[in-house]
Amino acid sequence: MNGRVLLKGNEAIAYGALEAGLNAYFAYPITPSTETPETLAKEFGNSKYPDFKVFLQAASELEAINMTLGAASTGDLAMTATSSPGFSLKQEGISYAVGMEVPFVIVDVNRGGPGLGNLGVEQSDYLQATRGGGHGGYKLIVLAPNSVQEMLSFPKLAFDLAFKYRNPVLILSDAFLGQLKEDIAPNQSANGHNYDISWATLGMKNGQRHVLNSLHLESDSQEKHERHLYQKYVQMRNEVRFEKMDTDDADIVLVSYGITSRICKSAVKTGRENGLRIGLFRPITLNPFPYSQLSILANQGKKLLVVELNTGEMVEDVMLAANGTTRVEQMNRLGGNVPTVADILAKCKEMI
Amino acid sequence: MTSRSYLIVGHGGQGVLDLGNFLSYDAMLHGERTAYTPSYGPETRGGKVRCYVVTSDEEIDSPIVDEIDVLVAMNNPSMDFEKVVKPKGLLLMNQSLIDRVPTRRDLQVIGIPATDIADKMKDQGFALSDTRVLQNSVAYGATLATLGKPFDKEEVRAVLEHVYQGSKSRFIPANLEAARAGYEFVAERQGLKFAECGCD
Repeated sequence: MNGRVLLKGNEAIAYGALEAGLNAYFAYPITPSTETPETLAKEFGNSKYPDFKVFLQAASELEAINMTLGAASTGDLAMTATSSPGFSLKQEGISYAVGMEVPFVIVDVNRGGPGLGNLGVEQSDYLQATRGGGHGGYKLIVLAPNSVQEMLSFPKLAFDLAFKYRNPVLILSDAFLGQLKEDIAPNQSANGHNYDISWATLGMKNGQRHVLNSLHLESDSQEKHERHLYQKYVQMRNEVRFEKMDTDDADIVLVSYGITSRICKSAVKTGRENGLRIGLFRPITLNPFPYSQLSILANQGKKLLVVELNTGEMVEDVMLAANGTTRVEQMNRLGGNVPTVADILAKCKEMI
Repeated sequence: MTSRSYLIVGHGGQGVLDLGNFLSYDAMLHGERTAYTPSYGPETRGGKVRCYVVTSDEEIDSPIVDEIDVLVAMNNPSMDFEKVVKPKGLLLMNQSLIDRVPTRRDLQVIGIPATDIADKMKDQGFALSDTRVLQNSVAYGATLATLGKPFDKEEVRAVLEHVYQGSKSRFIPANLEAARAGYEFVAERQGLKFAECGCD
């Protein structure tokens, strides 16, 4: 079987975190994300993962996110995963973590919303994810995998970025990717990590007391803190990641992330076989969003078709990138449905 | 590029998702790329269940496809999906539970009484109170035969070991026999000699 393994996306996230050196996981189950804590519970105590010291099932999402914040404050690699309604509940803890500059990784397996919604795939948490879903005007780095292979490799990248910027990083997955199984090449196990944790609260262990705090009562002190955080958001823009396919000669460029970008890949190939010059631009980081790279395509006069599973979220960022220079349209499906290749090609023909 | 898409449909309790896993893992064992997409939802016995499997000798773009090469229909309502099968595609019908007649005339249709074959295994001494649950493995074997693949007992065992781990591993011998029975049923009717298929 040439060393490949067949894994669900949610399972791959768990193994990716373990291979990144995960120390602590705080669980609160919610469909369609639960295979991640199930896998981690199963692997707890496995001698392959000596760094994995804590698996704890909390009594609520609020407990889980605040336990994650607490563990991460000591410099441990901590993670929690959830799905949309649970992600809303975790916003307070995430906001505190940004204010306190505590790095950890959160996974949101986007399901149909609002409210309880349903268990089907949607990308309707895009704005909540990219604008900072809690209070106080913060930003997370948001990574959007589109395959089980990336679900395996992104936790390591997420921890790298979280510790680099001392800021939580969100992996925005979805109900489709979470349940999808694909054959993947296993990663190499990481042995510990070299992250700088000189800021961590470890008592007087290193002869110095550290305080992690998000409260700055003095106006000047608060302003200084927010400007410092803002400078980090500016630096994070260097982390922009994206993927392009057949955009050079394209008349229409599909813009899509996550699972829909996979359907778009098929649409590009099928479209080209039928004489349609279509390309694909796939943002991998949703924040920072690849505004300038998209703006180049818009300035070349290419029409942009945003394919996403919501009623109009990433299309706002694409319109900002295009800044009125080209035609931007959106097509969507909702509630667990996904567009077919035929749907996408029909829309392209209409736009040409 | 050679690729194949499967759609497996039935009701909760028929092992539809496991059957998708069998086909997906089977492809990976043969060096193919594969993607398996379950229909998710409240998983209750009797509810509608379906899953898609794509296999390919190259990287798979979209894990779900507009048109299906192989439809495995496990019950009457699953015949609704006949319309998404490609022309000249394959329809494998569980005749035990399907009395609907295919309306398409451009498909290759294979019927197998998968549930009945599974039911009849109850006297073979397996650690199962109800052998009906083996109907998915019967369909798995039947699918292998229909596609002209050999029945390699060790490979089938490896597939079953992937899906039935831990305490479920006690069900492997029964499922292996069920897969063989399904394979044999189709292979005999296709004029293949079972003895040549590498089985004991």
